[in-house]
Amino acid sequence: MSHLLALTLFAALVSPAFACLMRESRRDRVKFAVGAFLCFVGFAFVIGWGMTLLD
Amino acid sequence: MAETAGRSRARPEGAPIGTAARPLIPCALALLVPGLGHFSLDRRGTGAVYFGCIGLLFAFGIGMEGELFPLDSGAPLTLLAGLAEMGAGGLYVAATLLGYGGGDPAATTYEYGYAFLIAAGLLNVLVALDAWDLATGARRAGTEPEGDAGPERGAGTEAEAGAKGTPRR
Repeated sequence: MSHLLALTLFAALVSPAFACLMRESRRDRVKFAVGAFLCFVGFAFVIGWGMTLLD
Repeated sequence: MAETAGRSRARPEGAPIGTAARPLIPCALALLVPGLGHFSLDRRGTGAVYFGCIGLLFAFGIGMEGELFPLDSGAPLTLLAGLAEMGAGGLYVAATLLGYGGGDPAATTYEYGYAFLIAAGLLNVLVALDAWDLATGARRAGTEPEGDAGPERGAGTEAEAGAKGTPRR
């Protein structure tokens, strides 16, 4: 299993749970879950590339 | 929608969903099985999401050769990891009784596995605390019904506008 697959899986499972904890309406939950998922994966890419460039 | 309508008939807006005197019951149910506390509070959709997400997180953690850390360890960080994993409650007990969660440090996914298990346990603790808040009314449930985006803030029905004596434009 690659790092990317593991972090994507983790983000996909954690984001909906956080969305249900943090928001009430279905629309807000979906928006929050999608945003959190993209932030998880996006920041992992940014930090990963940053570490690659520092190496 | 029928579920939402049923809830709004049963209690006034913003009132606690559960019995305020017994918030421990949904909290304990949530610790027993992820999402069961919200099921008992008539929030079935939310409970199903919690059950699916936390259950899958825990199952993937076990499948990735993650370790369920013992509490009798001398290492403080391992002890904390074990406590976090115990937050999964019934899942932790079931996996331990069935002989899963031994972990294989030689496996490439070992670290991923126990990270998933720790995340599942901590998330379930948050879910149990959320069930407690809903039961006591600390979290204003029902103001924005589950499964419905609800009306826009400041907007109301024609009937509400008429009742307030303010004509809608």
